[in-house]
Amino acid sequence: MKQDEMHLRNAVQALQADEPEAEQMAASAHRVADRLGIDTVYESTVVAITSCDDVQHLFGAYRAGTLPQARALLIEAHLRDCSGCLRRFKGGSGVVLDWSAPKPRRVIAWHPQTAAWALASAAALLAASLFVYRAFWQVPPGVRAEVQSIDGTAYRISDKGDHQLSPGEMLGEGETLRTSGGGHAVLRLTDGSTVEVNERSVVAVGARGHNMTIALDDGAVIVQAAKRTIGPLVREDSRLPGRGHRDRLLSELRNQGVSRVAVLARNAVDVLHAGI
Amino acid sequence: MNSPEGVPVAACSATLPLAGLSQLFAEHHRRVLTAAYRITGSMADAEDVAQAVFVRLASADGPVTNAGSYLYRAAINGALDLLRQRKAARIEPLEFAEYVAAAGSGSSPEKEASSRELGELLRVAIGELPQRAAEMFVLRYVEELGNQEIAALMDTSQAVVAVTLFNARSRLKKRLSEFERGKR
Repeated sequence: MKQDEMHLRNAVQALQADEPEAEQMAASAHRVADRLGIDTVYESTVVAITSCDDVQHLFGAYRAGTLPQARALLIEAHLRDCSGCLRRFKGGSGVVLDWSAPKPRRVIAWHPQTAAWALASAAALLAASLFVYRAFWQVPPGVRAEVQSIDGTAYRISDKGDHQLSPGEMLGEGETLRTSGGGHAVLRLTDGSTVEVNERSVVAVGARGHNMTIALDDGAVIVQAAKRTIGPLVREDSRLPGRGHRDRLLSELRNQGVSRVAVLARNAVDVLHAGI
Repeated sequence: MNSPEGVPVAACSATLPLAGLSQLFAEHHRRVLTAAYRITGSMADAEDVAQAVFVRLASADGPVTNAGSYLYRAAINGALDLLRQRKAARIEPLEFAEYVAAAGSGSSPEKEASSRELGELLRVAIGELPQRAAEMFVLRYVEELGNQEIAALMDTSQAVVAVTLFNARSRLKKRLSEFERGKR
């Protein structure tokens, strides 16, 4: 065994063997019980208060209110007479410990009123969570857009394959519309917005809660957004379609009397206001 | 027996504001005093710790869960706090000289004194450990609880207990060796 290991073992054994003698233990128990004001089971004599030190030892029990009335009166009387003890009493806990033990844990008692409040809070939290989920994250069932008109040809691309679209057909979640060269299509989204799809464009419509998302893979679209009550109209992006294309769109919009639209091109979005 | 004010002190034991405290004291005072004494090596300090522990328990507003475990752990923590204070003051406990003089039977006074000195050095070294590590070390090696019991008592995992104890042992071995070298 290594030397340091042996030292530690011997030291631990010395500590374990260090037991107070029975008489010493009994005397200490009496003293502590007396300071606590406990009516011990022993036939002991109560330790007399003979000095300021004795008084100061009783401060803890005096504060905790465990001292018998007569003894508490003695402390009060002494505190009136002795400024040193009074200073000590007011100055601190009177206990020399810098306490680091955890505080005693109390038994948690459930009162009907507390339980009712807890249930009400939980229900309110649940309702708020449900509202936020339905407003922003839930994928609503049903169609996303209806094809209003098609000039040229447009296809629906889905997991089931390609299908040539005609006016009146529906687009669902995850389905993509692709227009051919020279083809144009107008979609009406379920929230009332209108999307005009340019030739050689690939666009899909999705929904999360009350929000509709237009994903543009290629080409260009003009979105005439329906009025919204919450949230931004569209997220703006610094990447804009070409200057000439943008000016042409604005000119067309002014002629049509449209007040506000979103223009998307290759995932870039810009909100344009007529008159700017 | 009269107090300085002339009131018979024996009359003081007539009432008891917290009846439960007396019973708790009767059940647990021995364990609390012994644990505090083993750590501090001083009966006077152990009394202070026991008093503080029971006063604190009596000051709790409502019923306390598992008062026995609380008192035991609180006594160990309170005693460790005193060890740290002693480390700062470096005052030799008065009892130490008495114990050395009154060496126990069955062993030579020199051996007894050497053993007590070793224990005293270990107390100093434990006082230098971080609070949690010191508490775990005392619970494991002085109070001889198992790792599982310590983990449950301190609300942690057995793995944490094992690692903390290993580190604490390493530090204590190093400190004891330094003390030994310093003596020579």
